[in-house]
Amino acid sequence: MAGEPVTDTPVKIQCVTFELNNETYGINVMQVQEVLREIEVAPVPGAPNYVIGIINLRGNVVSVIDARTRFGLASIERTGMSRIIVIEAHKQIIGVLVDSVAEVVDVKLDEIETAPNVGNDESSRYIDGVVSWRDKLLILVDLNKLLSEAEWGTISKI
Amino acid sequence: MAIDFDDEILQDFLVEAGEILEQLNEQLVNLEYSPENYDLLNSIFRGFHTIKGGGSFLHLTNLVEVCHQSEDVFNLLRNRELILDSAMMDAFLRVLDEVNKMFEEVRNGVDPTAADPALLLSLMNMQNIDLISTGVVEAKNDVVITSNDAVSDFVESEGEITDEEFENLLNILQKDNESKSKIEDEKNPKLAAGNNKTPSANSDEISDDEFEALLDDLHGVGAGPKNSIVKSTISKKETSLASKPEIKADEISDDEFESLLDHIHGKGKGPNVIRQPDSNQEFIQVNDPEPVHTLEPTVKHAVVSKPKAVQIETTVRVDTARLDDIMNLVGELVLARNRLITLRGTFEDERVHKAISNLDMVTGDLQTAVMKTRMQPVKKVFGRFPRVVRDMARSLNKEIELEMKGEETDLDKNLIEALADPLVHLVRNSVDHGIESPEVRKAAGKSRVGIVTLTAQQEGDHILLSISDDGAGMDPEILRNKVIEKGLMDVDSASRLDNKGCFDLIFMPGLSTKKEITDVSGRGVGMDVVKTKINQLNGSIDIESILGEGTTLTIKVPLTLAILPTLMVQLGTRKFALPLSNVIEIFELNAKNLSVVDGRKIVLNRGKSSPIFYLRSWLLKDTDTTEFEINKSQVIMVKVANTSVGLVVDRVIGQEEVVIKPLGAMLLGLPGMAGSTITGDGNIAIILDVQGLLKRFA
Repeated sequence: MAGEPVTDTPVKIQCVTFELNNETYGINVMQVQEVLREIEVAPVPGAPNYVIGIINLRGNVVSVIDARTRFGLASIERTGMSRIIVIEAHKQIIGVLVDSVAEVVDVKLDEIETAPNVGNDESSRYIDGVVSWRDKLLILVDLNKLLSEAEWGTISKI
Repeated sequence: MAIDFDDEILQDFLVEAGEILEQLNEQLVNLEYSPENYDLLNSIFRGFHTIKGGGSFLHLTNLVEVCHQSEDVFNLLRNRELILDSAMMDAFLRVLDEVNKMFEEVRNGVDPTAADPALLLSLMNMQNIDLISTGVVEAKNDVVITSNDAVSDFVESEGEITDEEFENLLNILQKDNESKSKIEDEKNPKLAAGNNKTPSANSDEISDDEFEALLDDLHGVGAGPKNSIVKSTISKKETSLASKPEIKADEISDDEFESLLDHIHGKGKGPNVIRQPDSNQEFIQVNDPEPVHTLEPTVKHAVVSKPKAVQIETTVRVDTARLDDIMNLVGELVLARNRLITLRGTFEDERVHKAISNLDMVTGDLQTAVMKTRMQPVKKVFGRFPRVVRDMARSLNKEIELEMKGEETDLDKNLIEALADPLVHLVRNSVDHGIESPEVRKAAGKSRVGIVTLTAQQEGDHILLSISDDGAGMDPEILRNKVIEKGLMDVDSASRLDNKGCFDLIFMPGLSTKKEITDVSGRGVGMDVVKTKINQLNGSIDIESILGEGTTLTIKVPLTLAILPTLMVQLGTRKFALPLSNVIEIFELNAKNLSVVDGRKIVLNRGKSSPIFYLRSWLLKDTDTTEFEINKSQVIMVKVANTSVGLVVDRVIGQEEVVIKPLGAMLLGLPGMAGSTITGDGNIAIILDVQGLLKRFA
């Protein structure tokens, strides 16, 4: 990926990569607002299990969801590597807790393959496609699907 | 035809005409009480006219049609050529409903559906009946203009009338007058008499109406004079030609100008005006005047915006979203200030203290100032009630007078909107359940006419809205029996209720004492919803009622929704905020006042026992115990829906005004959580909804 000439035509997108349970995932950099390191998450009593709480993002209250729970993985304690990726989708701002955030990579659009229809339903639902990258698979996450449509619906009513 | 107009113009139209519609609603009802009020008629006429103008610019044909017809009727009304009766009144109110409906459609981007043809017909009939009854009309749509040849030349040959020509025309007319011909309104002699103008007094005067009608006729006939020219011409003309022997350029009033334009815009319907000269026998008969509705949009726009130009702009229309933004920013500022105030203790420097105090004050002022920008007079909600009461009184055959006090009291815009529905419900209740029928009232020694009073007043940082009626009042016994009958409460607890407790029963879901369900009320869902809604606004509702004398409902809401006074409490390491409006008192928990009854913990306070709960066990996951630490915890007594409950917390931090931040994304609507806020130390505190909490956990 390094040293490739940048062309004007949108043949590639940039992705922020993050790890979950030793798998590498990517989300379109355009949807990422910022990545937060350590920040206190205030739990909300009675919230759905994948919502770990709310944070104070410079005066705005932002809900944070646990990507692990959302992807059907066992949730773990936060470590020093844990990050919250603040994303914007459907005009809503929300934080996603991930194991770690690595870097921003270029992904050629024509290299993206549709996701093999395997794996558990929970995680494959949110997957846009996969691309091979550094001998590994980079799983592209579709944020718009990360929350089921019904949930986005209730959110945008706010 | 889809509505594909420039959004901005459409939006402007919707806003402006929407306001007019609101006014019309009120004015029409007022009109019923003073049908002779010329100003009122005039302003209703203008209202319809303005809507029509805007509508025709946007090609909302159906809207234009109905407004046009109403406007014509009002034109006759204000010229005293028609007398308002209640059938007409009903028709107008229906027109208003139709127009409102069309508006809704336009708002949703649909072309408005046509008004009920029967309604349009009845409007047209009103205009005709008048003319027929005066017995002057020989053929509708015929226009007879009294004048000489010169005038007729103008009429026939000129498409445009310039200043000069207009002057000439008037001069000719004037000469006509001087020589012999009097232009007088013979169309409706009764009217003329009503106006106290005898023909002789009029002999060489052209009255306003006549002048107007004359202009109407000329322009209706002429092949669409350019509006702009007419406008500039007319604006220089004398309003009342009567007062001047010589015709001097001066101004014609707005109304006249509008009515003139009206006819220009008119859909080719011949002006229903007939002039008969008493000397000059020359008639000009014009049949089928050319429809004139192909004017350039720019010209029309000028017309539409004309009324704006008249009143000098001292206001700026600001999008409420922008105000919300400002409000939010001020909220942030308040939080930042709170933080500084928290930190103040750590500074030794006197100057820092001073600076912080200063900031504190300015922030407070700013907060108030910004809050004021969002304030609107309560009139906004009250304005709809005359209509509501009138319609209901009619359908229920009751005689009701509505009094409104304190309409100018200001209230947060959001609150006004949020309160509208509950208030309508309560007013309907007063009319339906409260006020008795005239016969019953008479038998009870009251006047036939029931009075419903709406009052708004400010009390500190709260607004009190009350709806009172001098009706039958509520019978606590009936309520008590009802609640037992419906199985909503057992006999014991029902019999323990005092009068006030009984009245509060009407807020219970599923309770209606009305034996029959009408379309007005009686389903027993309303009051429960009203109460919930008002609670959501951090308000409260209170009932006072005396059997046979009437009922008063008082709603108490905070001035604004953006800032909430709360009591901050601590549970473990977390902070929670309880709305101060729920809190009754705080006291220490000790072994003496705690007891267990029937397996439930009860606390005794001031001789009353209340259930008590450990908030920690509800709100913190890691708490496995429901045991209180006696002597260390504090009890906050909260009152929700007539029951007081003790909530045990680890520590009471104190009172704090907080800015409510909605819980983001997926968390909205969680029971028991009203929102969140950022505390003075930058952390997040969750604002609890006490009622929701109790519903969920207790």
